[in-house]
Amino acid sequence: MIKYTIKRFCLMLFTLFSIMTICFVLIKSLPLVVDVGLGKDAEFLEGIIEARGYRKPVMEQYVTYLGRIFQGDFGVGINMEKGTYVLDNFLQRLPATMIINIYAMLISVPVGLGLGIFAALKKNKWQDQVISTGVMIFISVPSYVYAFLVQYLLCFKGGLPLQMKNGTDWLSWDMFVSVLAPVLSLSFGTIAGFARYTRAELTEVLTSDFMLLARTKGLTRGQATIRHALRNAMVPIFPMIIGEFVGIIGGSLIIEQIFGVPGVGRLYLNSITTLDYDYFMFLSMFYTAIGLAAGILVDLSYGFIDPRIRMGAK
Amino acid sequence: MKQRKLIAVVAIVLVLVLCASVFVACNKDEDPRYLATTKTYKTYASSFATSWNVLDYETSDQGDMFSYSSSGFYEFDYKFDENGDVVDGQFTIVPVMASDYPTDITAEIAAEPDNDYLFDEEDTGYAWYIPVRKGMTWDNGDPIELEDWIYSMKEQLNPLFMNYRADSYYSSSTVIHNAKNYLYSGKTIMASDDGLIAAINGGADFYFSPAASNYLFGPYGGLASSYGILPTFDSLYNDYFVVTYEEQAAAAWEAGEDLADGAIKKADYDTLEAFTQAYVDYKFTGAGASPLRAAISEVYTIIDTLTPVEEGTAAGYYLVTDELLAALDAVSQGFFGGNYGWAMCSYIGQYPETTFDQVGLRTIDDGERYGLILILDVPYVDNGSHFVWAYDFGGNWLVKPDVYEACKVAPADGSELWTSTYGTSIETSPSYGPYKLTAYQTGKYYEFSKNDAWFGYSIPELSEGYYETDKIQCSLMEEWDTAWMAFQKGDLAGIGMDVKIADEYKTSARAYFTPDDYVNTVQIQTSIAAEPDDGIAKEILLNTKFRKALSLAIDRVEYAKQCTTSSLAGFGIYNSMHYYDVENGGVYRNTDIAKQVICDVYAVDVNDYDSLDDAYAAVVGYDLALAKQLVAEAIAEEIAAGTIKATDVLDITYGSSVDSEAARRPYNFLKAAWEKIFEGTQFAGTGFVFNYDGTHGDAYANDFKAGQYEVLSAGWSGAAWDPFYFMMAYIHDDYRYAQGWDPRTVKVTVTLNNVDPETGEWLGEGNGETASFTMDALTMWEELYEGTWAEGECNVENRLLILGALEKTVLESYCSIPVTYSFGAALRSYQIEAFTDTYNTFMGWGGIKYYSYNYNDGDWARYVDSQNGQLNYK
Repeated sequence: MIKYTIKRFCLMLFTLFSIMTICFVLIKSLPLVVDVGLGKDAEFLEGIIEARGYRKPVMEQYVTYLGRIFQGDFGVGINMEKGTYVLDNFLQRLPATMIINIYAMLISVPVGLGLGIFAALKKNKWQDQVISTGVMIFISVPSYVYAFLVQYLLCFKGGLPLQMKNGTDWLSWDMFVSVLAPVLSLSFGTIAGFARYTRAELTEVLTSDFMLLARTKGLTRGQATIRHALRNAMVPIFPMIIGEFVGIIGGSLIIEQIFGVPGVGRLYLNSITTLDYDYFMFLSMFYTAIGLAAGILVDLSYGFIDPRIRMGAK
Repeated sequence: MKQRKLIAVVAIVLVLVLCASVFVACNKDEDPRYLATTKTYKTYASSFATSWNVLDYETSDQGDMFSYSSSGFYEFDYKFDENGDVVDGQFTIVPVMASDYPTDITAEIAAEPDNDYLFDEEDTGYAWYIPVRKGMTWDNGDPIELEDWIYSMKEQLNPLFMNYRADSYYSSSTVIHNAKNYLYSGKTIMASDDGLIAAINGGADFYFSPAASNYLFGPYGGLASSYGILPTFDSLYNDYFVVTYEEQAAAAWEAGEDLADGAIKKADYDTLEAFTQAYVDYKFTGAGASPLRAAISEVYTIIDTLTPVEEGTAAGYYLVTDELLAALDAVSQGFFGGNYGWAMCSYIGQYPETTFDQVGLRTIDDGERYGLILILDVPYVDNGSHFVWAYDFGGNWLVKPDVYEACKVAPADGSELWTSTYGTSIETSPSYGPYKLTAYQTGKYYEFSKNDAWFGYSIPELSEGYYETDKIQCSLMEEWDTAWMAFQKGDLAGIGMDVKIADEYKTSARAYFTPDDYVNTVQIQTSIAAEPDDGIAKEILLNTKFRKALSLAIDRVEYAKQCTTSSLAGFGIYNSMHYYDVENGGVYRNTDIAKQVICDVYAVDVNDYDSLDDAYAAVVGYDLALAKQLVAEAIAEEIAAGTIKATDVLDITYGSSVDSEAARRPYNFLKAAWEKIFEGTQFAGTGFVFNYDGTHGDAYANDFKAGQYEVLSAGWSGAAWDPFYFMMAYIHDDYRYAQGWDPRTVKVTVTLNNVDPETGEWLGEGNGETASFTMDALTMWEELYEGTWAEGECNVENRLLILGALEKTVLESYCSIPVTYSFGAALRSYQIEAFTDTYNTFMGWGGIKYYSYNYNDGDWARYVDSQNGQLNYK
């Protein structure tokens, strides 16, 4: 297992480096044009670009960049969030993103699993059909649509705040109330996803031979479901939960935009549109690393959830 | 037992709920929100400044941030009559950080020994003494010293930082002596055309590189395209593919790219020569081709005898000899019929080593005078209104030296530029204005509160009765719908109207309309390579009749209604916000000259009306029948010329920075409008493909200029008080959207009064003659802006005639088709009131200084609650 983990880790570093290189080359391939407004000196603006080293050969810039990040220097915003340290700014924004996503997960996982289990147990009955219809709606409709609906109904017509509260008292009651609307908006899709997946897995397990054996052994339906069916169904579901947790720090561009969440969701997109190389590269590296780490974590988790699964075993 | 427990629990819950309800009800009047006596101006922004460093800001939202926490030397204010009433459309200039109006001390400064100023003792307007108030402090009580301004300007022009605003002090109307030289001190540069001409006149050396030159021989075919005779290199390159010079052109292209980086090789020149010769073969089949080929060969023959420079910026260049210049002239003669050899060369020079002591800004504190001395290379014309001091010199470049020093960040590896974190947090944002930053959360909100240390609060004429606002809170709301809901809940002081509510709320008593100098135009691409066999008739966009038809197909009134909230139909490239005479309220669009231009362009015969005003009012710019006729004629002409075929379709693209409902409105409108005029032609139905491409982001303008798509909805604002300068946006290569339309190739004739018929020089009323002058549009504008007919050199009547002629020329190109004059519509909250009911160009609606409040924050919260938390603004 250790050998496997080390191997995966090394492969992860290699993949990270490759993706980083590709990202760097691609972003540098975009034309860097001087936008000359009335009264601006085009020569001066071009001079700024040259002095920043942006006209040097791409690979030369890349080597320099690698040297910088190995010294822990992720740069200062030049076009986006001008004058701000990339790492500091990212870390300042991360809690807002995390707080709404954690709340969303705390709601989504139990509700999603509960609905999925209930639907599986009531398979093909009206309860199952109601849940499945709801699931299909929430999976099909983009999150920003019900985000607007939530904002209109619960915030504008109801009493919830329209926007996330100002300040950094992330764990206060006022903050909790102010993030209820974005949390609900984020949760609908995730609940639907969990419910659908759980129902599908559990339905399959419930019809397995070993479940029949368990019942014939004298277990009640509830005992058989909890002790045997659920445990087996959780093998593919648990990694999905881990994957969703990883998504917590990714942020949600639309939800953050609608509810005034000062998170990291918009940073990445803005870094591309404004060609802020330091922000773009840092965020690319960060999300790539998180994604790769999540992959390893999910793979390793199979072994813990179901001891029969052994990665890399011969 | 279980039942009892259940009943007990339910009973307890009910009692708790009841108590809570009573508690809430009893304390309703004592809601802490109701107790607030402050007056807070709550606003929102759809994009948020994250830094507000006055030396380096780029966008208006950054500018807003420090506008609250800074003051100017001189600021605009309302003009009041003897009864204390505001005089509409007028202004006055108030010294704020300055203690009095400036004094012209040109003669005194010119008399200084061994100076290098560009003026002498008889001149005026070049050197000014600005008296500065004593006793001003920063928000922490530290005194503001005269030296702070010197330090700040030194940092503004610091070559190590190349701060974005540095060029404001040499590239705009404010040209501080030696500011540019200090910024570029000792740097080697290649001069632009103007610099080149100056270099030639000054006898300096200049250089030629067939590859790196931006002109005929260069990789971009600059001279060729500039003079409108040849297409740009991109299309040239495509042409070569068509005429089977593919390999040769590709090699030349590659060679050109290498050469531009300075890696020059003889073999590359051979390729370039072949490339250039090949182009001559392709383009010139007549008698002119042979001498042209010989001239080109001669250039390369001479180059063979010369030794290229090997070091520095000039590496790979050849020092231009008389012989080489003559050969280059011969080439340009063959192409253009003129001696433009110099334009193929570059002046490579070095800025003089300059210390900050040589920059035209210094302090004076000699007991009699306390302030700053400003020395300019271009004079300020202050005719007594002091307008120039608020307009050109209204901003302030002041930073707090100790804080700024602490915010400096050394260059990252690979970069030469220092950066600064000044103005990115409360700690790095010292204030010397009426407000100071008291709360800030990145990407979320900021709050300014009154700066009790502001000097203005102790000066009655600056503050007494004003600045009722205690706090300014701004939240980031990227979605307009969110802001609209917040406004209705009383959380915002105002909101701009979106088209979706415009009809419903335009007549609201709380609605107000703000004119803007922005003129929206539809830009038509004319940088199009001729590709007759591709089945697509884009080439027809080169036909002026066709472009005119596209213009006439647009019902501008309907366009304004469908695509904007409250803009008006627009017909010229100037609207009623462009003042040629701000002191006297002279608006270019309201002059007879400008009205006549519109009547002429849109074919409204003034003789058919009682007056020019009536004729002007009758202009609609919408004539479907004529548009259809012009389309048919244009198609017939182009088919006859062989540029398009009768089976070709018109497949063009509308480009935008984004793909949104709002951005698609103009596209949808134009599509429907143009489909109407294509009926009955080969472009009817499927013959017209109008694509939408919203992927261009911030590069949308540059992409259009580069010919990546064919139609763009865009425009210009800025320089509203200098329409002569503003013409640059439509004329100058650096700004013009329509790069395919070349003002150098368009002749303009204008008839001027009281001028020297030879030189055009204005000789004063009653002198000189009435004479006509014909020249290309760019030259005419250059003469208007900084030449014979510049401000101070020529009377305004003649200048307006020239401006009218130029506007007419731009309009008749039908590359920039005006569609709307921008008007913003907004709703103002019941909580606040603007100072006036009439918009003032100089003061807007009065701003934060003049806002007054119907409710303080507590009363406002009570009022909103009394309306069930939702206000009706209909």
